[in-house]
Amino acid sequence: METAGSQSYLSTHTSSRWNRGLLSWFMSTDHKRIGIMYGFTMFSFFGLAVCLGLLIKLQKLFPGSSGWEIIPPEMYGATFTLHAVIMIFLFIIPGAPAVLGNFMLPLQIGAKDVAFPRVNLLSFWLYCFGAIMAVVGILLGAADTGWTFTPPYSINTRSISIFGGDFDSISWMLTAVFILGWGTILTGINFIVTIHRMRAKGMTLFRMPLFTWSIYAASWIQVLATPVVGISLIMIVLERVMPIGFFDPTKGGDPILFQHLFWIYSHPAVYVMILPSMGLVSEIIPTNSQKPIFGYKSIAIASCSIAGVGYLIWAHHMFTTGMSDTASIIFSFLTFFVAIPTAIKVFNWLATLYKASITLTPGMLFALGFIFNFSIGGLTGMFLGSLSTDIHLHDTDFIVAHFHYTMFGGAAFGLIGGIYHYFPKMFGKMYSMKWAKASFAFMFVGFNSLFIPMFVLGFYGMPRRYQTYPDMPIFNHFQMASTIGSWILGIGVVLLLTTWIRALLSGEKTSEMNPWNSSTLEWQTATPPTLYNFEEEVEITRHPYDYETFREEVKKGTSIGATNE
Amino acid sequence: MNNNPASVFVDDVDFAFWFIAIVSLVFLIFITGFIIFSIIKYNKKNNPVPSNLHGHTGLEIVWTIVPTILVMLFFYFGLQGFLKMRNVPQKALEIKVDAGMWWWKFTYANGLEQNSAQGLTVPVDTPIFLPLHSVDVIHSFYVPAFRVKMDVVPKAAGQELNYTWFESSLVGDYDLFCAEYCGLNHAQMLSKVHVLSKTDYEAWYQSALVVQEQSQAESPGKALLSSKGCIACHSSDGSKLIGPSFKGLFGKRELVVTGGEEHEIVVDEAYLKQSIMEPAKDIVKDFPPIMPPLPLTADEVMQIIEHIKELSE
Repeated sequence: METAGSQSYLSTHTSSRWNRGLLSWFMSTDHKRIGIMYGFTMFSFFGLAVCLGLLIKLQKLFPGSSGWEIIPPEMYGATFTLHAVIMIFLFIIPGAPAVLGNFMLPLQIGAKDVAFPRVNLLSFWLYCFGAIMAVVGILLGAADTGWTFTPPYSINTRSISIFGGDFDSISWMLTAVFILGWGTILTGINFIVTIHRMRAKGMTLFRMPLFTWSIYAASWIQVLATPVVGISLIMIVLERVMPIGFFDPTKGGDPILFQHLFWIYSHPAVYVMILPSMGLVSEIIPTNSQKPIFGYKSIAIASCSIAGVGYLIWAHHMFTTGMSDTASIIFSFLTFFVAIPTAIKVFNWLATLYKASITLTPGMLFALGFIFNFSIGGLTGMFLGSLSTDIHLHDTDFIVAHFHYTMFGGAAFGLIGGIYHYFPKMFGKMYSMKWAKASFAFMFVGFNSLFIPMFVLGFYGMPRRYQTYPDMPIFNHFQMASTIGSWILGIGVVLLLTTWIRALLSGEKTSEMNPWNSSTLEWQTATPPTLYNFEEEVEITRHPYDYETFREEVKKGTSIGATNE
Repeated sequence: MNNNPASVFVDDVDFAFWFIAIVSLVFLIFITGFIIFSIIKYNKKNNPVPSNLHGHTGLEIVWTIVPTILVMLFFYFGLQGFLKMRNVPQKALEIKVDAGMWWWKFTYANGLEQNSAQGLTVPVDTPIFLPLHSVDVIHSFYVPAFRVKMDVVPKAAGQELNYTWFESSLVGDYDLFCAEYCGLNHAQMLSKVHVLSKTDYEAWYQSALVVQEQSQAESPGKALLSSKGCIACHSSDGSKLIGPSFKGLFGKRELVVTGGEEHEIVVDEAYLKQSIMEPAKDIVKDFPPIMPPLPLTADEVMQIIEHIKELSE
């Protein structure tokens, strides 16, 4: 029987007028198509922001006295602002939930789609609208506030318009981030409702795959924290256009209040970025180890407790702002409690490798790379949670290296690994293993040689956001090492994107349902999935990572949710 | 040029740093080692049949408790250094710090004022108390060699200023950075801390005041340009910095931009006065509109204008 629902979601499935070419994507409420659209847009922005990052590193090759200038001082602030705004708001915050969450979450829990498919499409449109507004705004006006928008600088500074005349690009950018926030909130609500209401028969909470668990935890943060930053950013816009004085001390305001509001969102937001990637690693590792994940429940609970504790530690970004010493001490103390569930997760992944049967697929390489990078990111976080060391290291290159280890080496490596893992399922095409592994090698080596020197620079007092720096051997040498690392990483990113594009254009076609032999539900359906995901109603009878039962099912040909004849 | 450790905080901070560093390194080596070991020992070829291990409660309790103990130690060592940084000794010598885009000013008890180029001069082995005042945006007072950092936050009237203190144990010159992004010349907002022996400091303290009084008597306007930070952006020798040079400025024809419209003016007293009091109004073409308004008295403005006139003769 050939119904629309049993065709691949990639093929033309209805005869409505929205059905031609790109429109059939841009108007589609199918969670799979929306996920892929997010993927294309996000990775285009990622490529752009990587280029800006490489420029910044090139500038750092030359100390102040050399006379060389890649980015002049008046453009340097705008360059790192654009790099950060794109990377954070357009790439890593939508991140894994937007691409793989959209695509895989309904498949993982045996649903036909998310709970509100139209709202899901609206989220994507809001994302596109906000993204265009942010980039156009910054490009026209060279906004240079940094992604933290710290007042009073962000209130007083007049951005330099590239085409002459007055153009308030900072207000544009803030409004854009506000709009992006709406998209995020709607996605969060959508996922929470989907997880609560749309699970297949037998899919109890503790039978959900861990990626779904991590999306669930991250979604709550998105829903509860994003409104706070949205309001704070609008308050800055209001201050820029009217003499209001929420944060401007000359009008009786308090600039530190903004930092509290900003970090109340932006600290939990780092868990929006990292949790879903942890979830992906928790999928990739058991699959490529062919054994159950070690401590399933404690990983699921750790995700939720990271999300919970993540709310209570925002002011550890503010130990040098002069807030009360009592507050500093309390926030430092609480900060260390987020380290514990994080450590538990790392040990659980390691224990999963014990007595496993490991295949080093590209996805697995990125997952193991994630564990290494994220361990460095997490451990260097200890230096910043501890009070006296933070006073010294705050606002230096040490912090820059630390958060790149968590955000890039962690969150982005996890996402990239996840895409390698799910690529054949999503597109029905296979990439070149050789190219994929090469992209990992270059990215891993390049990433580490770029950011390890920055820890040393930070310890020796190199402040961040410096267009130039004093000519000292210790600074010069480590800056040079870091810049050379950035070139290796750059090659890795080019290899990565080329591998994907080549696979999409001319990759080997595959309809193999389960190329990595995974036990979770999303693999037990057609490749690429059909429009309605599962042709028959699915019933879940076992734990998601029960590989022993899974192998028996494969032998008998009855694995859960299997829809192929 | 010196970032070598040199204050009473260094021991505490560096002990906490290296303690955390060594524990972290042990963990990292274990994690990496275990991954490599597993890839070799338990790959598909060497171990085709995986075990069916679901978990182990004992192990999970161990790796919850051990990190908890370790992070509490990290917290404790960090706290110790921090408490020292926040408790200023009674007998500390007070030097007021002012920060603005993009200059530092250090004011001593006897009225002596030092700018970014002159630096902060202090005696060795003496606690120095620094109230931190910003005239515009947030800056951050950072001396890496002393492990000292505190944001210089502009405050509403009546609010307490941020402060920090240090005591250097080693004579020498140390870098002072602005660590909080403050716009165009953030990376140039540098100065030095000069630590002198106590006798050298006393001699310097008296003589520097004499020098300052002389230069104030000679040209009060010139002294103001230095003490108010103007010279961070405006040269007196014709070289182009962030803003126009003062040399030959008076009487010059300039193209200015007012609200997006260009027009030509002649620099006279009225224009100079307006440029100082309302810097954002008329911007000389090809210069960024970034000068902050400064709190100057009418007399001071006149003294500066007199000096600019002198520079154009």
